Amino acid sequence: MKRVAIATVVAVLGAGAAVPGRAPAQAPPGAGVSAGASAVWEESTVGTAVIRRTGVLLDGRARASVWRLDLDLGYRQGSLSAASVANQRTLVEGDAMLGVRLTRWIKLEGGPRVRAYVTPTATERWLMWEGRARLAAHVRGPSVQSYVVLARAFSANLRPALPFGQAQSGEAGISVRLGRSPLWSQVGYWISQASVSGGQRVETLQGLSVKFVLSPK
Amino acid sequence: MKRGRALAAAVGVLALGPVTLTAQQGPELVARGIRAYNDVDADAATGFLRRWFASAEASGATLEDRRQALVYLGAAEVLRDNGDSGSAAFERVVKLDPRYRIDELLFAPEVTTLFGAVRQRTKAVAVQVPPLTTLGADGAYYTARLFASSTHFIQVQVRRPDGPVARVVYDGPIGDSLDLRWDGRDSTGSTVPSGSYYVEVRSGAFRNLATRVLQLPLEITTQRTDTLAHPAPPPDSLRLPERRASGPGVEALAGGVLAGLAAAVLPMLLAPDANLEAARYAVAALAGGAGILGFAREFPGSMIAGNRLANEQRDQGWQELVAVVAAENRTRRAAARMVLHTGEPIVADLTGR
Repeated sequence: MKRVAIATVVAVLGAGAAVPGRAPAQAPPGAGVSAGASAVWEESTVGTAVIRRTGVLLDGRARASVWRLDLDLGYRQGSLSAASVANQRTLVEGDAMLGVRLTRWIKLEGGPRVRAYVTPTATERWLMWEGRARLAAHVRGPSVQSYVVLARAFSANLRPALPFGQAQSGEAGISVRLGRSPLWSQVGYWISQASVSGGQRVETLQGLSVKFVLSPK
Repeated sequence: MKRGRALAAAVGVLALGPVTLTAQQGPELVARGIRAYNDVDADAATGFLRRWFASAEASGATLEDRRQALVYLGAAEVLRDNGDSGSAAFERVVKLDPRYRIDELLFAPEVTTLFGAVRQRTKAVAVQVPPLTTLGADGAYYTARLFASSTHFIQVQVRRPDGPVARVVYDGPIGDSLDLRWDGRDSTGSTVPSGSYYVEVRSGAFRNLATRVLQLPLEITTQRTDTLAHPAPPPDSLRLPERRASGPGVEALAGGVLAGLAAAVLPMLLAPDANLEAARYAVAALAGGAGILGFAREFPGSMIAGNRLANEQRDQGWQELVAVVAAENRTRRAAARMVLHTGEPIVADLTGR
């Protein structure tokens, strides 16, 4: 099953890269910002032990667009609490993605993602180089859009040093423009799983996100 | 009897001395004929007058001189008891000038009676028209006054030379006189084009049985104002689609369902061993439902009311513009000036054919 999912991600990314596609109409430079929150469920498996945490992540993003290129910068942070107070930790994540819009409905992105698990005694950092494909469709005219995001980490660097296994993530949801304003609301479900080599440790994050996006487009 | 007629003629001459004097100012032979008639010498009068008609001078004489000579010739023939010859002369008088009425004070009763009888059986009209008429937008008419020798039937047509009849202006009886008006249009109501025409008056004792045709040459010049071209209909490129294409509906359905499936199924593929949250189904239902609703709204082939209304408004605007241009063109056509030059009449007698 996992291989199928990975194959899907790779196939989408490969297809997007190989097919030149029709360039969208040249748009003037633009920018957008978004802010939101996610209800998060985390499942951390180390060996046979499973620790479950929940919490809320606050999310902020900024985007700048030139021609068909988008530069996305994201940051999210929140405390995740577990049944045992000793297992509580803070999740901090940031990413910088450079993307190209191939058509109106597909965008390919790539860049680094840094995730840090912060406890009172230690901080663990995962630096992953990631490729993403974002698909979007007009559901009710251009004011209501659905989207699907698939991502795959091609390499990673962990501190303290651990052999990286694999990481992939996905997100799906719907965006609704509020009237004729440049303000959009967005509801989505996202999931991310990263593991060290051998599968001795697996970190799975799921979230239900609500965002407000200020974007002229 | 001869003496009685001569006396009556003499009385008439004496009573109308100045008239006789005026008559004597014509051609010499005619004047001598009239003097002979007034001297009750009918034979001499006939001789003088017939000599004059045989001369070259007669062919170039005025209508007045010819008519006067014919009247006196007819009267002299009556005095000579040559009724047929008198009738023939009077018939020529009537055809020459249908308006002419013999003076009952100047001529003997048997002369005037015969002239009246001849006038009654000779069907001819004279036409009086202005030499130049201009028809504009003010509803002016080409007018003609017709004078009949006696009551009979006439048909008045405007026609091309050797061509079809453009318009029958009148078809019916005429008594003493008749005023006719023509608006410059043919039988279809259109203004006749520039060119040469005839106003043709066909006279006869019975309807549709003409014995005499009078033609007035008519040169028509129409001065039109250019009309406006009708505006072109809106191009198809501006026409909005009135029915939805399949693309938007399919995109809505595929996009919504794909996002819903991704929210529901993708976690099982990406993290198969994890404990997945049911919250994802809410997002799946939201996205899938939105896709289905979007598909229903953008159902392929369904009517787009707004576009249809916009197209109808555009078409209506064009039709209103066409109506405005058509009205303007009607005004311009109505404002066209028509200049009509009328020539000298030509008479054809059909009784000899």
